[in-house]
Amino acid sequence: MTFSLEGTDASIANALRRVMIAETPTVAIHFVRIENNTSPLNDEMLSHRLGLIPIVYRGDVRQLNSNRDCDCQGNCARCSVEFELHVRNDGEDTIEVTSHDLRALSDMAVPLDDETLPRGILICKLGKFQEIRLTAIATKGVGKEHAKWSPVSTAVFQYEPSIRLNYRLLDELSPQDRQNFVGSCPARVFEIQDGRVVIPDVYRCTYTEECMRWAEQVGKPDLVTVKQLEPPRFRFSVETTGSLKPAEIVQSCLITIQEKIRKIEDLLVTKQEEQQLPQ
Amino acid sequence: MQPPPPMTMIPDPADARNATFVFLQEDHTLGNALRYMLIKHPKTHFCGYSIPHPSEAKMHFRLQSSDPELSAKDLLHEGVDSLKEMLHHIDSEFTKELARFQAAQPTQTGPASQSQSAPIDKE
Ligand SMILES: [Zn+2]
Repeated sequence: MTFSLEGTDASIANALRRVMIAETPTVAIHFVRIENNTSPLNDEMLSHRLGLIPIVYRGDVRQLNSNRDCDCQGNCARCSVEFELHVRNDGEDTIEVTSHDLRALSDMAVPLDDETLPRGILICKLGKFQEIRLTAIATKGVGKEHAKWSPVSTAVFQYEPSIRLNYRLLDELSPQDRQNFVGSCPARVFEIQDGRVVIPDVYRCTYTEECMRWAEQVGKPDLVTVKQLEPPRFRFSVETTGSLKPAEIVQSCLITIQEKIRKIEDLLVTKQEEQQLPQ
Repeated sequence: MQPPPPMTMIPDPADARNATFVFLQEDHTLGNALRYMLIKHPKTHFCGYSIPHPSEAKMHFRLQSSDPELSAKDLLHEGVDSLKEMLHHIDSEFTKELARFQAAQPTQTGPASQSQSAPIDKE
């Protein structure tokens, strides 16, 4: 998903980006009890791979208790989702254990099931008579504790470039020079359509300023200027791991920041009352 | 044991206009955003933040007001309020734009395949 943000500063845009990556809660496998593992992978490696499988929680993840703060002993339905994995290869050929073999013990969550991944996510391969039998507990967490809880594979923003072309000077160039000018940009920002230099997508620009350098070399420094748009506009690009939808991530991230602020505000209000009491 | 408060104030005993606020479990995410909001405040004389040590989850926020009537704490409160307003605005604009975008999408079969990677261009 892409969206643009304007009328504010990079610090706010960066806060959004940082919270999306590191402070947006999701559910991921955190505890694994291995009952039998005769696969080529050792227990630790297997557990690590299980942790990285995106888990889709069918409910509001934010309403889930943190396992650490839950008043239950061990784990319960208010703070976790249990999974089971039992695969044994009794055939001759090597088989694949994938996220499809991970069976949820409640209907609150499922491992990522996406039409672009019809075979699921590969966990391990099993040879003849090899077996994996385990139960796994998924809990809520955030990306700053472990990246497996981060709901995004990409969360970036880019300053919108402002590229001004001087068409009067461009028209003075020979067709060959115009081609050279277009070729000067390593990010291919410019194209020639019907003999005219056009910019199909300004966001291709990576601010190399090679075009400006080229213009300076041919003695036409006013041919092109590349700047950041003022006031700035940011284009966000959010790509999920599949555990949440991109719009859900943005909304959840906004709630997280608002909660942070409320916490401080509450403290400021109570502090004021405390100070007024002794008077 | 009670958890420590998420924020404590180190006041300047001589001048209520100055103070350093120590935020626990906070970093550049809040520090820089709050700094930006307060630097725009007309009564801010000085505002800055630092993370004194990378292995301590602490953020120091220094604030000095230029108005004798306005304490650093009240100034922080105003900064927090304006940041809250800004986020509220982003939130409502985003929700509005998302609804507009989804309404403009050609109807798809099944809600599962809905706009996983569809572009939203707000302009
Ligand atoms: Zn529990």
